[in-house]
Amino acid sequence: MTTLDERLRSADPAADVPAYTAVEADLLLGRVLDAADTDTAPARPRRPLRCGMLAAAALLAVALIVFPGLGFGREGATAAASGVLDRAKLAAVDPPARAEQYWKITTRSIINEITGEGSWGDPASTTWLRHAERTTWVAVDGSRPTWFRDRLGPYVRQVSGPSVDLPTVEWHISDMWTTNLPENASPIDVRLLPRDPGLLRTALYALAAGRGVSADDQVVNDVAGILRQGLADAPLRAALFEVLKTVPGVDLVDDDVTLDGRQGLALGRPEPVGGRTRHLIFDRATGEFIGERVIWSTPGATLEDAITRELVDAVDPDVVRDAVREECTASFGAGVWCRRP
Amino acid sequence: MGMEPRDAAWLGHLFTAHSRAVRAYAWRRVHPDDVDDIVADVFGTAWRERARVPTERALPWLYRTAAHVISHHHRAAARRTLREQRTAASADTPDDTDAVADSLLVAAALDQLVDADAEILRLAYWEDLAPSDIAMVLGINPGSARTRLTRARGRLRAILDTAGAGPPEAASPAHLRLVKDAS
Repeated sequence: MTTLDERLRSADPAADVPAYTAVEADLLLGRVLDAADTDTAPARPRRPLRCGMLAAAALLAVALIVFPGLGFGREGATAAASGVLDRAKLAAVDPPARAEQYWKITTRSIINEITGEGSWGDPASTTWLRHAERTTWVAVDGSRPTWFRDRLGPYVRQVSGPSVDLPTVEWHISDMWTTNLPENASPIDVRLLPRDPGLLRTALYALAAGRGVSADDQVVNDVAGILRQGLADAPLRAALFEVLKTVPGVDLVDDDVTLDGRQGLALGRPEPVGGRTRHLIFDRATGEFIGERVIWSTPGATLEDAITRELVDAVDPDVVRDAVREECTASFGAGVWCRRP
Repeated sequence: MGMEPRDAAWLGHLFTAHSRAVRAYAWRRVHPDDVDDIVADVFGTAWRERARVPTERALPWLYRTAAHVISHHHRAAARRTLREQRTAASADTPDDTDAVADSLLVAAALDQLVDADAEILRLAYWEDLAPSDIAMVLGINPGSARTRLTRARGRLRAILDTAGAGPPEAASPAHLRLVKDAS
């Protein structure tokens, strides 16, 4: 005989609801962390979101199977922006690298720093802009751990909160770490991205589906994110610039930008999203991609990332000596999550 | 022993451990299209308020958060959800008509209870929570949770008995139509 308890349990409409797949989990967690980033402030020196390398690969595979026909042919960037991107494509060249070398990627930034309980721009909190720098050593052959060094520098100005004297600090190392992973883990594994511009566009739009305010805006954000990592090789950078030429709304928005002392041209989509506008910056003289800036309308502030990439034979000895070794494990099937021992 | 660091790895582990349960919780209460939004809101709240998430009883805390999220933002969607899910369930399992019919009757009976009674039964039988955890979700003391659960169960039984709902034999097509129309 069926008891009331059994009947109640049998009536559960969610009895067969499955757990999230690794891809779904990564996308949802990405939304959570992105939203937190937007709610509070743009990221401090950005650490890679250590999840989803294989998940992104799986999603990419799905994208290429499901949407093989997507490609060019729609209205794209303006002529002025396309001209800048054509020059950037020509300038996308890497020196010959040996397997045992490292790519040393340096990101010099203007970041925000918040004290108090409030969020970015909240009158109750005090917000500063300050200099920061991250250096990342990535094995050329991808078979050795990645090393990181963060430095914090002087404050630039106060953005919000009760007016107080600008703190006086010198440049100093704030963190150094590596992981037990054999290779770098990142939200989108650049090795898996197609170098063919049409396939790459298909993949990026598939990855952007359901994220951000629009697919076009999200693709620009994702391209910026990939370039910001500094891991994209020359063929991939060239393909990314080709994709940007196909994104509606991408325009030359500023032809007189200074980023980390270099004169540049800024490309972006003109309308702010979530109170901010993201610009990709290209060297006015050489055409190279040199970084990005994010302009926040409220509070009025501009954050910057200037990215350089060079080949070196070894990781700096102080980093090898003093770095904390993080322990990383796979989680929900494909993501990689790290913690300090 | 110190508390586990509340970093991105902690969020990942929390999600791994409980996202299916939170997804199911949302599935039972809102439109399927809104489920992922609810889950994202719940874990977003957990991330923002990570210092407050209890280490030992995280799931009831997440359910309580989900209840707040749903009550604040998704009340309208919640009303239409069970109806649509019942319809979908009856369509998806043609070979198990008796079980589906009984589920529809039980769900209709739950709908006839006051919200507080129905919710405590859902928490007990669908979320499978003990009275102490139900108390945490509802913000009441454990003794009250036990009492309310007993009363709600009695009221549900009375409704089902009044309907003459011996499970399989009562599930005629006429009953099914009536349940759908009424919900």
